[in-house]
Parts: sequence; C-alpha cells; structure tokens
Amino acid sequence: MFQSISAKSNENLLKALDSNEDHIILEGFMERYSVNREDAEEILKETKKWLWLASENIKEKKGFRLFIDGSLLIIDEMWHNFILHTRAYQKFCNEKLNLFVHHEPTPASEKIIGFDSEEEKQKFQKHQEEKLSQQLSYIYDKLGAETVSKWYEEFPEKFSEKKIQALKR
Amino acid sequence: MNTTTQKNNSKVNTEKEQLLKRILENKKVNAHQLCEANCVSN
Repeated sequence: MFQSISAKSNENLLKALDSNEDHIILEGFMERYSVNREDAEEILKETKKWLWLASENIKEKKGFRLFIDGSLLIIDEMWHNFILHTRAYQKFCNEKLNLFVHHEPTPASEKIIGFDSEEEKQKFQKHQEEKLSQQLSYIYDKLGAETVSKWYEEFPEKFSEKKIQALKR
Repeated sequence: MNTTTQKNNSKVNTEKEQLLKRILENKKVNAHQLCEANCVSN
C-alpha cells in the first residue's frame, strides 16, 4: 500500500530531531552568514531532515548514496556549520540518528573539468540525470512533495550560489 | 486494494512524476543559462 508522507509525519520527525543544542548551531550560522533567525531555523530544520534521510539511506542499504548538488548548497553550508560544533554534531548523530553521518567532499581528482567528446558529455549528463531522478524519487517517498519542492525549487532560488556568497560575512 | 485506494495511488504517482519531471527539466534549462552567462563574447 502506498504511504504518502504528510506534513504531520514531517512534524513528528522534526520533533524527534529537536535538540537543546540548536541555539549554538543557529548562532554560529548567523555569525557567518547574514541571515535572520527565521531563515537560519528553517535551514537548520531542512539540514536535519537531510541528515535523517542520509542515515535512513545507509540503514536501508540502498545501492546509492545521497549527494549534494547546486540546489542544496545552503543545506551543505549549514551542514559544514553544524560539523564545526563537533560535540553537538556527534551528539545529534548518536542520539537522534543512531549513526554518524560523514560529510565527504568530492576529491579534486574526481571533479569533472571537461569531456573528450560530445558523446562522452551526453553519456555523463544522462548518468547524472538518472542519479538525480533516483534521489528525487527517494526524497519524495520518504519526506514528501513539499520537501522535494523546497530543496529543489525554493532553496536554489532563495539561496543560489551567488546569493550565498553575498550572505557570507 | 479497493478502487478508491487505487485511484489515490494513481493520482499521487502522477503528481510525483510531474514534480520530478519539472525539476529535471528546470535543472537542464538552468544549466544551459549558466553556461551562457559565463561564456566570453568575441
């Protein structure tokens, strides 16, 4: 039977992920980025959902790993900020996720800088699209349409790479 | 599975397909725009 993820389910999830350390993380983020508290809270909330989803993905032994692309830059920035507070991050992972979620930047040697042919480029783009489609489907099934839209439509517009650069203090 | 559940599931699957398709299409369009913005004009 297909289970739709309701706003209520997300609300319950967020309550479960709530922590006493949030104010430290938020204050740190607002020190580094010129955002108001409301935006900082929203970004932290979505980042915790991302981390929960990443932990589920690992526990469920899916054949793929979740990845951060340009759309999710602001989640990545908050994730970096969270990790700076190692004690709070470790506590969150241990107590809320029962799993330590590692952050693994793509090594410079693995970054694509060009293609030898148009065919190779198209093959790569097709592969990337399939990867993203798989990820979008997973996010939809676990967290619902609202989260997919927020992460891939609202956030890339509100927190584009250029806007994030402008927000850095 | 009764008819109502089947219809609901079908509707949700269509909504899912539409959302995912829109995002994938938009990413392709934006990727192209990024290239145009950064291209050097001769």
